[in-house]
Amino acid sequence: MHIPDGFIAPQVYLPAYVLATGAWAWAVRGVRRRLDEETIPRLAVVTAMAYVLGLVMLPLPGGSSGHLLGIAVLAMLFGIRLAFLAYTLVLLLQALMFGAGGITALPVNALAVGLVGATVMVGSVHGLPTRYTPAAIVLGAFLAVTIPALMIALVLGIQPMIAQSEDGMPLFFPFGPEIALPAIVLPHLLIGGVEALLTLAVWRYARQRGWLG
Amino acid sequence: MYAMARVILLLMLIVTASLSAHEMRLEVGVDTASVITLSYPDGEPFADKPYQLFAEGSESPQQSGQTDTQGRVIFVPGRLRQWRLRAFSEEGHGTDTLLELETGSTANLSQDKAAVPFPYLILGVGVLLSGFGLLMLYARRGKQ
Repeated sequence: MHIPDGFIAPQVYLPAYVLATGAWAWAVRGVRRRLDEETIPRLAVVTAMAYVLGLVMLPLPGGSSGHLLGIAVLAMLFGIRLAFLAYTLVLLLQALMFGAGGITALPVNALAVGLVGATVMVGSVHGLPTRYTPAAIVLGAFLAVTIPALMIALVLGIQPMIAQSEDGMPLFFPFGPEIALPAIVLPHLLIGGVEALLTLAVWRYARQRGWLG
Repeated sequence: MYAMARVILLLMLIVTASLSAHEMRLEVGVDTASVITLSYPDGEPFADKPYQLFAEGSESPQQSGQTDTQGRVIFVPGRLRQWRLRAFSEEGHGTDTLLELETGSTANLSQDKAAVPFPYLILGVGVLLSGFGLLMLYARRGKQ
């Protein structure tokens, strides 16, 4: 789900950087208070898990491939702010070490997956009357994948309208929303389902050890 | 009458001659091409996807089209060595890469560059855990 470099126009990624900088500043506030000796090792392991999940490509129907995110697990265990920061770290590392994703695309990827994904997960878990139930976990994890996928598809889909050469050729991602939306969102329904199962398994493990608030 | 016939004949000859201007000339030859093969990280060919190939410093593509069923871009680079390849798929995969190619050379690109070598994967995990280790020290120090 990472947008690579060269896919989005500066008219999009520059404002996204401004927005993301504000969001990172918000997330960093009070982080020291939330990080204790018990939380840090868990956060380290789950962040490493998200990092590995993002690099293991799974074949999808139609010849494409995709990967799990791990954002739902991060958000479930550590809340929106820490999940957003940890996922930004994952994206940054993947971009710098492997060119998976990219530096120009970092704010869009971080905002869509890290912030919106985490918010959707926490909102589903805490917002529903069935708090911390398997149904809430599964729904939250599924939406934490599919809603960011929808956002990324929209961001990519508007690129041909934003930046064109003089002869009308798209300068960045060339497909419009009518093509990008189904092509990106439909495979992520499947990925969302697998992510929901993974999150449910981690939830059972975390509940047994009293990690959940 | 004869004069009229001559004029008509002359006109027909002129028209017939101009018809050859719409003829398509084909020349089949043998040349040495470079082959760029694009694939998904799991090895599936990046097949039938649009691409653009830019010569060094050029803003308009030298060649554009679709990758073939094997995910290949085949072209004749000539004397130019630096090329920029942009290829996209509908689902948001693709690449925007600078390549240095000589005539007849080949390049294999795994799209998204995400065919992760295992040592690098471990290195990344190591970097992450080391960072959190330092954070742990910092948190302990803050409490003391």
